Amino acid sequence: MKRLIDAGLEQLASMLFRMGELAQKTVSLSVMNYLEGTHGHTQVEELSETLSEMADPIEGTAFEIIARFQPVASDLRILKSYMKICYDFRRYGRYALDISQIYERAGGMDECELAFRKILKEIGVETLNMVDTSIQALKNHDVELAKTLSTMEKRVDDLYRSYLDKLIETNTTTGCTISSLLAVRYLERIADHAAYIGESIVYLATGEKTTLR
Amino acid sequence: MGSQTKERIFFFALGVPVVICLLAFFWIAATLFTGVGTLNMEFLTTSALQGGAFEMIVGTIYLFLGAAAIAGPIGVFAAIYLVEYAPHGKITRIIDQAINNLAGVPSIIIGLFGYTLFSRQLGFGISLMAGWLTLALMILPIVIRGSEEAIRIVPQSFKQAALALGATKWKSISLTTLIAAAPGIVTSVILGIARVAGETAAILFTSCVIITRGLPSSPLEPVMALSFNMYVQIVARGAPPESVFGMALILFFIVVIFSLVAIILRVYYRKKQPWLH
Amino acid sequence: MSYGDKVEIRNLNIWFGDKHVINGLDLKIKANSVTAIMGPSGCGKSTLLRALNRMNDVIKSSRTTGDVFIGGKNIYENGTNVYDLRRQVGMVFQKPNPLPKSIYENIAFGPKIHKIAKGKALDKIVEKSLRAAALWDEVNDRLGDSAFDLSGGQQQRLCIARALAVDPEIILMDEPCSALDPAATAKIEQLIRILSTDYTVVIVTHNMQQASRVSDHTVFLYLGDIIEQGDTKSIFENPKHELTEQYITGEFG
Repeated sequence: MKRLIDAGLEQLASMLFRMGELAQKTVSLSVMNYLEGTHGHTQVEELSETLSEMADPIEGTAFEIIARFQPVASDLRILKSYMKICYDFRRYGRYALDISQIYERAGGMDECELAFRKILKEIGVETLNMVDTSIQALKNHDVELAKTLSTMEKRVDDLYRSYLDKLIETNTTTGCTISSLLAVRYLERIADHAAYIGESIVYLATGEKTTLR
Repeated sequence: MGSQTKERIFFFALGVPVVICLLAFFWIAATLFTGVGTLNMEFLTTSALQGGAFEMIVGTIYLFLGAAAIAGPIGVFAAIYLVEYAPHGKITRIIDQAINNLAGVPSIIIGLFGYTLFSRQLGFGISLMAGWLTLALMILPIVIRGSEEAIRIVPQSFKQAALALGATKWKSISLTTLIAAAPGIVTSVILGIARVAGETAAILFTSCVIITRGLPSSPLEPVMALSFNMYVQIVARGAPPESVFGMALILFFIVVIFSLVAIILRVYYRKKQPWLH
Repeated sequence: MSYGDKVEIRNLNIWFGDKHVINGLDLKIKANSVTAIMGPSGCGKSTLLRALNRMNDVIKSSRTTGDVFIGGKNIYENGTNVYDLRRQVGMVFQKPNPLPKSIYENIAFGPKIHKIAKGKALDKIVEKSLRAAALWDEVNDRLGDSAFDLSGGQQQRLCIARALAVDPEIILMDEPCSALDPAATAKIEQLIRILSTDYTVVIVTHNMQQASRVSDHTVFLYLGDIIEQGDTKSIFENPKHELTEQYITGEFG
């Protein structure tokens, strides 16, 4: 027989997964637009807006479950983690919007040199991978999958640093500089949040507090 | 027939025996009351040597008070032992049965037993002491059963509380259970007295004589009693029943008063026992 | 026995007739703390509690082996003064059980039978105990009233005061709030926390939320064995044992 709290937890999970899928879509759209040079800011804006609106009901449901059911142990950890992940999804949306905005205002990679474009593409792809992985790991509470985010995040970090180094080397400032600098920064932050999500998944399943970054 | 009609029929049918009892009681009282004429202070306080009933009244009182003084403590301690200390099993059930049997023994047989053991073998002869011991045998089952009941309905929680505070088993019983059961125990003693106050057969050959010179000065002397005297008047002297209605009325009053006291005590103490509900 | 342990139980076994109720149990209870013993019905919680003041001895079919050290002394040793033990280790029962006496006499009962005090000294003890049980303000003007005139929650606080009157070191509580309404329960829970600064409290409860609210350490007992024990925070946030997890999240119980 199902416990009373299970209905609440299921509802919360489905709300969170929907938000996750939408966040994934938003990030994917924004990053691909940037990398491929396509315009689609309005769409990204709309998606981001919807994403923001999904956060409050999720938080509300979580608090309702706490007030009504006094959850403990794994139930409590799930709630704590889901609330954190909800925030991370909001950040996904926010940074996706930021990338789209910088593309609108300062242009994309077109003015960049090949070398830069290559690194940017790698970072972008790896970041999108991390976002996909984070959603997947969340849906199945997959600890092993979540832990792989650690290596991925390290890779993004390395790429980010090498890009910065390269930028510092070239002494000139072009349209590419501003746009790509900010874009790469936002991508790195998205990757960070994916890693946070991974940490939350590990905590919810095992009670361990780890660092995947 | 509707169920409501059935209810009413049962109500009245069950009321009939009660009415019969009440009628019997009042008829007896009324009959005896015809003898109230012979009752006056003089009759009650004059010695039998001068036609009064003084020694008989006092004798009756001596008999049942002494018997209660003996049977009371023995009965209470027996009840405590049976309820609180004895291991519950075959032996206790046999003892319970024995006590019930004792209650059912005809009083003449108890009298005979008393005469044989107390009067003859122990050498008390026809005396107050023999009467006390014999009557005590009749009071005993009543006190034991009543006290057992009174002790049993006291919640175990009192004892548990006392034990948990570090009281010994005896202290936990005497300071809580016994105190709480006291009203019930006292009532059972009073009921025992009511039972034997008018007892005739048991004292027939163990303690009573037709007439004595004043009150007995020691328990080894015989005594006069109301019930015995009524018997003697009618059987030995062939007097008409009406002549003893006076004595009968006194005895009747004594028994009725004791029964009433028992009832009043019970009602009064019920309020002081909030743990009963 | 390490410093800070008030009670140490070693290899405790308890039988009721043929039924093996406590199976070779080891447990340490820290001084000046609240330890909750929780578990499903019939798992031996009350039996374990009653082993600490040897109240199981009262039950004829019970048999106990093993050692229980309180303050360094083995209370199951031959020659232990059980009556003084029960003064030292007080107990509060599931259903409040005031004695059929006045409020004053209830509290004075313990000191009287242990000949601790008389007269004015006794009055002081009664007042001190009633204050410690947060009951003085409510009854100081009617100490002669019957204890049964009090409400359920007040009666339970009376029982706590009664146990405190003999100056115990340990207070055992067997589901003390299960017969009380939420408001009375809350008062008693607050009282328990305050008492833990001066006494060692061991509380048996089948209400997990109460265990999590009130205790510093929690012991999960199941069918006579300790499945898990530890500080309350970890047990309720991240239990190590699968069975504990299932019990506290309500999958059985």
